[in-house]
Amino acid sequence: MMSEADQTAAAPTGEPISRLGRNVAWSVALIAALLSIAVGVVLVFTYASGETITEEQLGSLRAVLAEQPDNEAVKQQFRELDAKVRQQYHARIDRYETGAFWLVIGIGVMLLSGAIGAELGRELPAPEQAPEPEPLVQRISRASVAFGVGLLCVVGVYLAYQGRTAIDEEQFASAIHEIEQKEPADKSQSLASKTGNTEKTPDNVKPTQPDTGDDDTSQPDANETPQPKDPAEVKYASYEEYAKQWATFRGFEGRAVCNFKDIPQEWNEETGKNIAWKSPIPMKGLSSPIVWGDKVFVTGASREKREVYCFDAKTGQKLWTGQYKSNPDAPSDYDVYDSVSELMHAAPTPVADGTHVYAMFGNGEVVCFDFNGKLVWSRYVASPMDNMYGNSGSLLKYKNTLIVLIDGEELGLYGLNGLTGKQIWSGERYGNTWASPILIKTPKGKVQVVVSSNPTVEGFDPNDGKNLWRSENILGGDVAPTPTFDGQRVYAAMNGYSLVALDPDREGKMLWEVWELEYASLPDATSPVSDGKHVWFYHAADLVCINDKGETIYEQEMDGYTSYASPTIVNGKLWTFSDNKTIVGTTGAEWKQTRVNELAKNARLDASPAFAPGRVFLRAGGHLYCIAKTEK
Amino acid sequence: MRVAVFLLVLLALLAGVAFAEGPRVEPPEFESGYTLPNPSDPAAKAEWWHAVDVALLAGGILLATVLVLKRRSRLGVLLLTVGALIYFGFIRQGCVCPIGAVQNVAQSVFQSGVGIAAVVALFFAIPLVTTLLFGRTFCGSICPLGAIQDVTLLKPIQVPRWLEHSLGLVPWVYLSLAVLFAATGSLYLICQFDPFVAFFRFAGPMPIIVFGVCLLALGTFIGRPYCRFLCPYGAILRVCGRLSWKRVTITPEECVNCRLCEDACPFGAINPPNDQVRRDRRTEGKGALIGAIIAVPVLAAALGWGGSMLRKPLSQLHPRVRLAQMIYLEEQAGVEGKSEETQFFRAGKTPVTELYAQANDLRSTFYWGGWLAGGFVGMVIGLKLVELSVRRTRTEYEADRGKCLACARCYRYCPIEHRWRKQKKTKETSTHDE
Repeated sequence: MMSEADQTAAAPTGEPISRLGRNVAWSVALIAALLSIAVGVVLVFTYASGETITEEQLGSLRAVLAEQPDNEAVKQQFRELDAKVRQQYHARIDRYETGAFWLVIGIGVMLLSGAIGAELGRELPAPEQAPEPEPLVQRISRASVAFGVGLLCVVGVYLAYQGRTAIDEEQFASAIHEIEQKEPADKSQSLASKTGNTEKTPDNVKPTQPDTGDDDTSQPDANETPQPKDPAEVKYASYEEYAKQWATFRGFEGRAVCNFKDIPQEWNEETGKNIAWKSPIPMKGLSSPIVWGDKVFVTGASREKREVYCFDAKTGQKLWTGQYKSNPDAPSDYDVYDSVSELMHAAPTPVADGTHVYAMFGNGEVVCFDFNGKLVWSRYVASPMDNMYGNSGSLLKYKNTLIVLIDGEELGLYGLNGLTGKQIWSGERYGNTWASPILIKTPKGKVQVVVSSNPTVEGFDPNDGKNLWRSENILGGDVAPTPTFDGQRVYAAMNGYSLVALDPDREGKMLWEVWELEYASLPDATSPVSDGKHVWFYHAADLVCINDKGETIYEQEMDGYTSYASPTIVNGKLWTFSDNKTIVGTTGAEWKQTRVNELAKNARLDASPAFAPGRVFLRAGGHLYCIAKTEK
Repeated sequence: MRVAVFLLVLLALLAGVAFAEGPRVEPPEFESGYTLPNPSDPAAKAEWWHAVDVALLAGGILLATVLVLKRRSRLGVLLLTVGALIYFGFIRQGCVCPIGAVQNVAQSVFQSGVGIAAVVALFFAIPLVTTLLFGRTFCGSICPLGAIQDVTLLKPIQVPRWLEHSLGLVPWVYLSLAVLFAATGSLYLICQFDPFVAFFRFAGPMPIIVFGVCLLALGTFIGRPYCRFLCPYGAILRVCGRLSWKRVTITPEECVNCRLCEDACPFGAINPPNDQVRRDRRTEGKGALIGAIIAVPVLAAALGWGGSMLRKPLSQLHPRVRLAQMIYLEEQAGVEGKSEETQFFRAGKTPVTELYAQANDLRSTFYWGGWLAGGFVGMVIGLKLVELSVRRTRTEYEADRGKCLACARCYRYCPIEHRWRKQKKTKETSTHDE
């Protein structure tokens, strides 16, 4: 053992080794820190600052280039701008790397000086309290280890809880078993996939059993399990057959032109003139009626319940009510716009194909019934969440493909197998919309799905969902007017932006646009209509007519339009709608009002009309009306 | 000091932004006549580089050993640490490293057909062997992850010893998970969550950079938090250190229990003497010891069972199981190709049934792996409880063989060291004069 004197002699000095050295070192460290912070702040600004040439500038030039693809000057301008963007990007990266290098150097100097300062300022340790007794430390340590074990268990339980939704071994095993049981079907499927047909066999679709709790006597037999047919056996309605029916929203190709014979041009509910029948629709909705043969279909829904109704076109008798159990994944708390909230649960118009009727509801579910009301399948297709006005795109049918547009968490355009509901394709859309898609056959014979949205109008191939063309920077805002087609041109419009005529055979090339009117405004909810020579639309208090060159023919002040029903041309007469009135007037370059047909005062017309030879079907005031020539 | 810590944290955050990966510029949208070069994998590192790395690792550890055990030079250790940080950190960019090599070893042991490169095996083995011989000189001087924390340690404070004991178990949990995931071919957990490699490479994902920044900020006053409370390889080296042939001694001669070194170690690796416990009270802890011994198999079994029950969430990290689940959900929903993975799978020839079967096999592997990993963690915790119930007599201040990182910081606090140095100097001078 050393003596106390030895200890004192050997002890390190208690004073800082060098006050001056310590202060110098700390000062250097402080300066290095401040310089590094300055460099760091510049770096943060460099990181956060945008480019001076923005994507918008490139985007607008891109639009010009799309219009004038052969213009060498525009091409050159685009190249130069693109090169500038790249130079700007690399200059920024260079600044960034240089800054990072000097930041590291600065931090290094600061740390080194700080360490030297700390070392030079080191003082003699002066322990005061004796260390804690070891038994006490051990006891507390054991307790803390036990606490740690408890924490580990909590984390384990949490992970197990989180993992409960993962697919378990039994599910995988039963899936293997199912597939092996259906091996022959799978073989034929793999053959189909080799030939480019990626549709699935219908076996995996689990048709939903209809709700049997309803006392509606007209409900079809719900206990029969629907058996989808072999796709090879199914014959689809041809494209031309749709021209003879009013099977979609605004009829064939969304044209809203009716040339059926014997359509009455006047009626009055008060006098009963030409009101063939009037039947209540059990549930509310904004969807329009559709007709195939002698059957009229319409939908209604609430947040809790969704139904499809089939009426006899001649008598108005409700033939059946189609019900189904909702998929548990379908949300019930999706958005609906306040002013029409009760109606938006059934806003999309259904579609029929001669053997089946398909309907979509506000929660993103699509359902298929056959014409006898038997449920074939139901599916939750996509989430309508984050759609502030609600899900509103109407359905289309092409061959066996059901075309579904849902805007929500994704901008969706889906092709579903009409027999099974399984997804065949998904189209990549560009902008959001509340308008419905339309199915058209171009003058060159190409069938396309046309979608108008903010800020584009796009064409898609209904066979595989591939985008065929995209006209950008045309529309804007919350696009709701559905585009229309006159056999040559597609017309799309939105209030505050423009009405455009596009050529679908030339990748949506814009032929003309109307963006300024004298005092009227472009439509914000209803759709335009055209007879090939003129285009009409209305909004607020004005009816507007544009000729086929994009020139305004007239802006007619009316009493005011308070309806979501869109204008329709019926046997050469223009029908417009306001509240409970159908205003009939002339087509052509001059407006002449010929008739105002009225329903009951509370029968507001928010759905567009549907037609069959000799008959008009109107949804208004919770009823389905049939207008036909009567004796009265 | 608070100002210094604040400045350091601020700078670390700014550095985080500086190192975060930025967006890449898109290829042009028009024909420019420029032909994009074909992407190709970078050439493998030349063999002689591997030899240099291994030689520098072994040489560095031996030099550190000489500096710590023989020369007792803190300055030498500090310079070596900075050199190792520059070479193994910034020049070699933190790879290969012995910490990550644990996973290569685990995968090559548990997966048939998976080998291990000689350089990786040597990086794994050399620090283990040298630690068994001379203590954790690798951790103290050569490990770049330790070095970067060492240079940012400004104002060390002591972590309570009871907390040190419980936090010291975290690396074992991390190790067991890392081995489980590597052995099943799921992922290299240690590499993916390496908190400092982004600094070495001047690039990395933002969450990892933030993690690294937080550790460095914490490390300004808590010595080497990653090494002590996270590093899985450090857990193994701790065991090796306990068995080491040579070890760090605080004093070069006999300890006088002056208490000056009591708080010298920023890593809590100095154990005080405990011979003050009265002999007649030494039997008091027997109950706790018996309980701890019983707890070893109980904890191993309980946590092993718990680990097996976690096979579902743990297996989610295996890409094959994830793919099987995605395909299964797509099949159920009647959709196809919702993600790139499923599109790629469907473009291939592997039947869905085979994929499902693979997923089930992997689940089974994770079931048994969960048993082993959980059981191992339970055993370690049990043994820790045993250790905390055993009383060993220490008559002087000792460097904890397991925890000591051989950084040589404690030497300068020892008065005997100062006398020894003075005597040594005098002796050298007189020898020189003669």
